[in-house]
Amino acid sequence: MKISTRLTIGLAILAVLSTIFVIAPGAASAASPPATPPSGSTFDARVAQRKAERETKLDDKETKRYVEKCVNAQNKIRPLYQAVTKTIDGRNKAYQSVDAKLWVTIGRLKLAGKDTFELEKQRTNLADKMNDFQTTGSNYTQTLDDIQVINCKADPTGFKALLDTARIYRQQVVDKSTAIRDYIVNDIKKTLTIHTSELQPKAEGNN
Amino acid sequence: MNPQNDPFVINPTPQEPIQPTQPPVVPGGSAEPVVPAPESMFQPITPPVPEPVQPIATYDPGYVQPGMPTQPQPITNLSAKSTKKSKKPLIFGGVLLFVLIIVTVGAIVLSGGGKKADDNTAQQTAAPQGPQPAQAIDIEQASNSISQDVSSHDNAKDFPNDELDDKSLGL
Repeated sequence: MKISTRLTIGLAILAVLSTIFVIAPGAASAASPPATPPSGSTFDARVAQRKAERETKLDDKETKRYVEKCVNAQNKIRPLYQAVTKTIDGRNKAYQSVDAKLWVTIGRLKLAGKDTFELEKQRTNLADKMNDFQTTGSNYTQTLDDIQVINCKADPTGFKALLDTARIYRQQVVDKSTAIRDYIVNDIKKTLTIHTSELQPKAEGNN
Repeated sequence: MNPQNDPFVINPTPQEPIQPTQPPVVPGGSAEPVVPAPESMFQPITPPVPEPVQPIATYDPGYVQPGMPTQPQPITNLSAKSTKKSKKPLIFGGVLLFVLIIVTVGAIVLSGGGKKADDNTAQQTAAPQGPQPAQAIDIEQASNSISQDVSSHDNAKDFPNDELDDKSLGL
């Protein structure tokens, strides 16, 4: 095989690979990430927003499938909505409990004359993460609620857009919850351990 | 009985005040005087007086015949004075009783309040005064408590990956 032929084949393979790894992800991320709806937004406004964000388009086959089966899916989402709401509320309360304990600990460390700058900074970061999680969780449960309410047979595109939005929010909730837990375990507890070591009563002088 | 001869009548002498009580001429009636019932006469002043006054059957200072002018009766003033005198011990006794009740209640309240104050003082002595400076054990306990708050969070269980899949939803 000639060198020119090998070069041509190599370029072709390179072109195919670049198409796969560069163009396709770009096409997949064409839809914008879901944004928090304005406060007091209506159901219709939220559905329109999700359709625009997801750029949802259904062909005839998909439309028929969703029209036939979406009501059954709505029935399955109802208990899921209740479980998710309970779980997210529980996590918010747990994070608030952690925040309160950090406040008390910071105050007592200050009374002991310790430098609490690092711990206060971490507490602020944790509060930001908590607020972010709370917002995402609220958007997730709101979207699940909208999925139950929508007339999916009349608007299968809206149903699909809401379902895709809920899937994104679900993953964000999991990721942010994991991030909070990692931050508490790896950063905040590490700082608390340092303070614990500093406050340990020092041994008597060696004789 | 003639009131003027009765030694228990306080003021029997004046002749003038008796005039209004002369029996009026009742048209078509008898000439006997209209006398009120004895039960209504001088009843209020009898209990405190050691020697009870006999009721005067022929004279009622409080009775006024219609159409006749009313005149102050000296006996009435004397009755009021004697009533005041007789009420003094009662009033004094009432005041004394009231003071005794007040003193008793005050003593009870003060003794109970003292106990409560003692209890509060004891509690304040036992309870810590606000946040205390942190010790190592305190920070360790706080750290462990924070771990417990998030230890039960299991994303794999609470948010299964397939919970919104088409297959799970039957789509």
